[in-house]
Amino acid sequence: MSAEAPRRAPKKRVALVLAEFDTTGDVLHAAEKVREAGYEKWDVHTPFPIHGMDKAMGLEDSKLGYIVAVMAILGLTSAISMYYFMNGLDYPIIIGGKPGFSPPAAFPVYFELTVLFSAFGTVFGMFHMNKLPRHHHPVFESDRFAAATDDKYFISIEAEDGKFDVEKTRGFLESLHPSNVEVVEEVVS
Amino acid sequence: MASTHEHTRSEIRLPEGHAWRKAWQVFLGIGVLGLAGAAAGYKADPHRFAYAWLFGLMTVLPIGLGALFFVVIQHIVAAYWSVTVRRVAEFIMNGLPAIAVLVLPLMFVAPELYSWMHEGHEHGAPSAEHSDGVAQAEGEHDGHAAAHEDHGDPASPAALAHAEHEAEESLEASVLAGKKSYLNKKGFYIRAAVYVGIWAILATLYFRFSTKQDEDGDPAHTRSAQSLAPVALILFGFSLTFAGIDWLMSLDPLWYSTIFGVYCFAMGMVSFFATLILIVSGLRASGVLTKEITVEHLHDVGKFLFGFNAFWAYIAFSQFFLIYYSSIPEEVTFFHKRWTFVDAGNPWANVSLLLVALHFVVPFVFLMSRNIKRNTTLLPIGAAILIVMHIVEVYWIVLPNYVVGPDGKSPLAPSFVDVSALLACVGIFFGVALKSLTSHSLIAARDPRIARALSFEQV
Repeated sequence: MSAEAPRRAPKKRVALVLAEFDTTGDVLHAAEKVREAGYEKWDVHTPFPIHGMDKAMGLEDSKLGYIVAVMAILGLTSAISMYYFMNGLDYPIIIGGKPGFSPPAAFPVYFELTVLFSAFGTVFGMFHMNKLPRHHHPVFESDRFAAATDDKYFISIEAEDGKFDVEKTRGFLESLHPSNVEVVEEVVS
Repeated sequence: MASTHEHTRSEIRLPEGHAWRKAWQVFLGIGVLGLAGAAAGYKADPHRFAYAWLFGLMTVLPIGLGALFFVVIQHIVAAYWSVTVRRVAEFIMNGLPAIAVLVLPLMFVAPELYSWMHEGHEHGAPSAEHSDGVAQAEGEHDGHAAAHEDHGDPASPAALAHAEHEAEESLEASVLAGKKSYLNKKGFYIRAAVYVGIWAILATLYFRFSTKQDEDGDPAHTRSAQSLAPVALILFGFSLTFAGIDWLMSLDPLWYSTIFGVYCFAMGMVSFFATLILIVSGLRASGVLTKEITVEHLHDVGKFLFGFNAFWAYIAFSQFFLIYYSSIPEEVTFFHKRWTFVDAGNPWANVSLLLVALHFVVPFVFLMSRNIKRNTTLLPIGAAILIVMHIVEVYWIVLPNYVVGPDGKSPLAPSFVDVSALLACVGIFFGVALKSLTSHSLIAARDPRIARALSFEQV
């Protein structure tokens, strides 16, 4: 062996514990147990939506609708005020015998701007609520995790959770009949 | 969800003495009372009765047609979620054969309603004094001349008005002459028989497919229903569109709107889904179907109600918008009667605003939330608002054509005969429809998709 400069071992820390399940039924019941155990920073990763998972995880209804509603009202009012200012105040033109500001005439504009603002609200609101864009997550450190988009179901409990303790959490997840449990570490420096 | 076909659920029948067993008798009783009132109204004033009956019939007919469409479309897409609610829709659809009877008074009084049925004359117009086309052509000529001569002459406004009236009449005559190949008495009656026949036959067939399957559990019934569905849909589309043109649009024979058939369809879907929600909620409140039709199913029907109401608004507004933009005389008459504020005394303009507010804005905002659609108390409230507004809407389509007095004004004056005709049509239709509640299972118990329907959940 040739002499090499000793490389500094990368500093790692435990990021999460990942449990792998083979069936939707198993992961659904496991999710119920995790919720009952009182964990908060955890997630379920599946290739497709599973009926009843929201309830099993104890997820609340998304708040995204409220953002969209506010944006829709904003879009509608800006369309009306834009039309009112342009055709009603600033530069009234009589078209087809209608007065400068005739509310039904610009209805397509009201509609389109409402939809446009709502769509922005939906997309960017969703980004914000999902903390996107995010380019990396420690769960991808696991080699097995690629199967989450294929035929396996995963539950991850993050180290940031208040109840997290590597051994205890690992033992807890092992009690839920997974096909595999691994502790995932991430590089910190 | 492994077992999709081996299960055959037990039938659900109304227990003896259950309140809903008497529903059809109550409705039929209301219908008979309404019929008596309507008959009295006919004796007093056949012309007024004709409008009232058309209003009553056109309120209930779209509900039945909506039910037929819903049942057929569930078969054509092979839907499974809807199997549990489909039977209730089939009950509503089963009232369609009664339309064959309810349409008879309309056929009888049709000449009171449709001015194009009169050769040369316009019914009810007090100064229609021409008897042949030649005189009318002259009238048109004179009318133009008179209008020119009298221009700016305040001494003879009456003569001017008279000349204008004559010009309008001859214009109407020439337009109607062009429409005669479609708008004629013989065609009207033949078409009516065809529409009613199509609806009664399709409703009977689809009801039989489903109830026969209750007895023998043969999936072949589902297959037959599915293969008949495309034909049924085409027949449905044409019959509904042309019935809308014949019975509603031709009330004002000079007016036309190319989207009117779609508008009638939208009206039918909204009123049907509202009715379905009300009947299902009523049945659930009385303790049946609580496990079979769950919040998940109601949520989906609620989505349909919300969606089709938005669709209705879209179509109704499109119709208004194009007419408003182009301002062509023969197109604007419809909204001139119902929307214009120029003669400030137009009461129908207020009804139009009411429709905008309570048929669209309020239900739209109200039914938008998932929580409301999943609430078994609030969803029927939304449906009830839309049923009431459906009745108002049909009234608003039909009655402005009832003209009183020489100035062509149409008062907003709901009368006893309107209420009677509405009760008669609703009572008889739902009397016939709900009679089958007593003799059939409340769910399609042996439909091949029933197991999946029962375990259905929203994602």
